[in-house]
Amino acid sequence: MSKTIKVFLICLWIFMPIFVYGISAEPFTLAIYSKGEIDNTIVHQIPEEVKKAPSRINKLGYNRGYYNVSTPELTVFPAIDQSKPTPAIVVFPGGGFTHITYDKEGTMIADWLNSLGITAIVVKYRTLPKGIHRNSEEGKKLVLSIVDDCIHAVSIVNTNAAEWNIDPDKIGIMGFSAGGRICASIITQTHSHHPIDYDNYKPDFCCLVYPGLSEQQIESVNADLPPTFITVARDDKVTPANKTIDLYSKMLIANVPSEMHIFMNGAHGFGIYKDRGVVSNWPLLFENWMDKLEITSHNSQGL
Amino acid sequence: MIQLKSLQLFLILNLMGSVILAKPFTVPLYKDGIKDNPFKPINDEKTVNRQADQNEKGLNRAIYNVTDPDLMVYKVPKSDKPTAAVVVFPGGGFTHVTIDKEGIDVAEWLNGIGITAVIVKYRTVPEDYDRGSEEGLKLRELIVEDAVNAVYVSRKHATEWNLDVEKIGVMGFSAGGYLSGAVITQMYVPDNVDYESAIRPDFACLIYPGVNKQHNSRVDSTLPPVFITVAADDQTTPAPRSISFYEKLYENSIPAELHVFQNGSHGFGLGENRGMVNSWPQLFEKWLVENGILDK
Repeated sequence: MSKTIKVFLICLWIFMPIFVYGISAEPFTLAIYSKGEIDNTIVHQIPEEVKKAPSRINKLGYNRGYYNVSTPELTVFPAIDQSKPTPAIVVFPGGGFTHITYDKEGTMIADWLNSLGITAIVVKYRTLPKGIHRNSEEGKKLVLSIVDDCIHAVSIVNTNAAEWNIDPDKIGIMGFSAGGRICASIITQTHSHHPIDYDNYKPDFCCLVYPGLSEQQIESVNADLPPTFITVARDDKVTPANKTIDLYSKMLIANVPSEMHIFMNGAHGFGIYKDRGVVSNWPLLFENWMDKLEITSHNSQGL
Repeated sequence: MIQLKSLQLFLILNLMGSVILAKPFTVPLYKDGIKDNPFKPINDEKTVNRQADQNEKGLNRAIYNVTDPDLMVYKVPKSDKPTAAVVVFPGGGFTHVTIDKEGIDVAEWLNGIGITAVIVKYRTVPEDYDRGSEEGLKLRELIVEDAVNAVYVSRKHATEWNLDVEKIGVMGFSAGGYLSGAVITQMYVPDNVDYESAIRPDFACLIYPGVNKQHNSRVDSTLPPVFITVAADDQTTPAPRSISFYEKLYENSIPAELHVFQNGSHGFGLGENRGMVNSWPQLFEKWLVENGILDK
């Protein structure tokens, strides 16, 4: 074998994954705003801080919460199989707007979605400064800025769909708790100012997990909402199930293709933990639902 | 060697025997018959096998003009301890009993997960009646009595049928969901019978149930745990009816679960060949585990 052929074969072997999968599957992080683009409504006097919750750890051994976030960013976790454009889900973790539950409702979700052939984009949005409650007048205003962060994030994914090998017709959003409130705000278009044209960030589907919902969002449900999957536990004391029922009832009236699962037990913040009894069924139900909507195919193995 | 073989044969035959022994049997709902039975159809009881939704055996039978209600008992083939039981009310809009899709097929599935099933063939509004007329509605009240009595009779036979008296539930499809709802909301209690000990189901499962305001107004905190499932595109018993009932359960802190599937329409039975709605039996099974009715 000539040296040239040997070198060629070795190169082929090394770069084969790139030929097959297109691009590297390594996660990467981007700032949501370019310099000067961000509104300066949220200013933290103290630097960003990471706290590791003592319990409910993920496989890496921690469950991070980001506090005092001033610089919002998104991290792209590409699906493993890049042989064709993949569906994508922009994930908004919860944390009551005071912090970002980054692993339990972020990186763990990304791992799961990746395993289904879905690219996950985890959003670290800005958080409220200490002492400002989300339901205070000031807090409500700042939450609008936080929603803007998330709208920007979705629009960045749309803009970069081709480059990131994402199918532009299969970009969904998923939110947990406060992140669910963000999703609801996006799909009901109830955030007051529109920094970007809705066509640039309108999700193709939506998943709300124990979402925090406002009356305004519930009242604003209309036929233009994307297909939506909702789940919550009956014994949730933080974001009670009756709000979810109200939202879903409106969706039925508006003929929004949608599905709701209210589990008997599970409390708040169950993430995708497998040891939570009945509520641990929701990820599989969501997988079935995505198959039905032809976002994915043949993922579901039954419960 | 020969001895071992005959031992194997003996064991196999024994096993087959126990399966054969578990053949379902039928008992009348009212052992003394019904005096002055107001169900008087022009035609005799008849069975129609429908073309749609047939099971593997090619059956999806509907029984019309039932005047003589009975219970078909599908016992768990072999169990050394008392088993959980479900009294199953098939649907059929009170004019017929959907005996396979919402009865026997369901019983076979329940047997497979260790639960004895008692299928109720309740009386039906005769073909020549208008089920919505005053007369039809009067008969419906008697059908509710059949439903309540079915649970009562099942409980009475608990020892004989090897049932765990703390694990006797009800399950109803469509009109059968109406009946299950009627049982747990005590729409009827026979005279001189203590509901708590002689009837009250330990759990209830309502599938695309025909629940209405009548049920909703009767919900209180004494109801047992309830599992409900329905499809969002159900045109017969629309999902909002299930949701309203669930809201009452929620307000009364009943341990209840609700699954509204995006698609599946009405009458999906166990959900086979109806897409994602086919997960409900497994969800129900896990719910039973959560409630301590089934072991993990």
